[in-house]
Amino acid sequence: MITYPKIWFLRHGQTEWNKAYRLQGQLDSPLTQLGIVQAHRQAQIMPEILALGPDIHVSPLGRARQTADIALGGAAYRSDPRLMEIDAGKWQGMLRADILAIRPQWAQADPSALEIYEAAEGGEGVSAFRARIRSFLEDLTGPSVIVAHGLLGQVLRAHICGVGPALAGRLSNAQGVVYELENGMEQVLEAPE
Amino acid sequence: MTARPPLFILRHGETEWNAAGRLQGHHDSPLTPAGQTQAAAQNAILSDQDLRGYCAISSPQARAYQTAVIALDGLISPVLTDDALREIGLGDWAGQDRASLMSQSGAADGFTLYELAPRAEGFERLHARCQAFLARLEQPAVLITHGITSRMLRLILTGQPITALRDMPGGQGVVFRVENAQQKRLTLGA
Repeated sequence: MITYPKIWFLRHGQTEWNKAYRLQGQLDSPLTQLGIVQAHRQAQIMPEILALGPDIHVSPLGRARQTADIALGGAAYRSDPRLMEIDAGKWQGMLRADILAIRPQWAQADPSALEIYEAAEGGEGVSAFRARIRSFLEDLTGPSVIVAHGLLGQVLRAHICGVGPALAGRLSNAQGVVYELENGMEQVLEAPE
Repeated sequence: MTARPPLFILRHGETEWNAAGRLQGHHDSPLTPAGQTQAAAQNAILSDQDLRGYCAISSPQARAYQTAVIALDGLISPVLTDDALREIGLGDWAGQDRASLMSQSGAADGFTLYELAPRAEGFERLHARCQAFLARLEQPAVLITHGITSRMLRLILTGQPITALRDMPGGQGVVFRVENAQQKRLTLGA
């Protein structure tokens, strides 16, 4: 098993489109009030971690940068396009309900978000998505903070923790917390309420 | 039949209601101190195993998830949850006293209660649920589940008919390893 440097993974806070159940993919929308509160909760956890001098990598999409600016208290970071959310092709900008309406076979199945993105017309597909995440991970040279997206986090965390692709979409996908990944295991760090 | 991935199957530790003789089904109660010790024993058993490539999947019910967190501490994280690993549904009898139900219903044994209970899930439907879960499981896994669901999973994995459910071994604080249609009961210090 490949071991990676220690990673602290942060998902962006809730956005307007998250709240409306609208697929974002590589499109973007701003954080809601709740999303801003979530980023501040991450900011309570981060000082001890930042004191260790980790590398910091952030997705170039606006919601991740907005989250990083709050959660990392202004620390400088590198932007890496390999951290962008999975591209959902023609389905980006559509409501979850509209997608379920054109795929009636999903009514009973309760598909995970990752399964929906995998099926998206003109989308990137999960295997290409995994490949760019692996390429990003292989370039890490030391302990790293990553600020990015929900499905990117699920696939990255599943890869590190030895959870197979079929189960990656079942990992938790929380906003406002920090996932600490070390030696193939994950711990969830949460600020007190 | 395609080869199935190897599995470790655990039942949750003793709960308050287990100790009081109440049926749980989809209800829940917390682990007793004895139940926590049983989960720690499972952790010691699993510590001797090579778990590389294994994921962990638990029933979302608190008694199972609480067991999973103890039994897998330092071994596998995160623990995933899957509704398919919930305990068999007991319908209207969930939460009731096992001994009085046995005498009132005239059930020959505890297993019969699961079929007699009004609005119960029943063994046939549990069988289908377990079969569907195993069909989509593609990788080696540690499963943390419940008494009846654990027996049903192992019954399917070892290729036995539903009628053999009563004869499946059980137990808290132990770990079943199932590979190539064979099950092995692993206990601490044995």
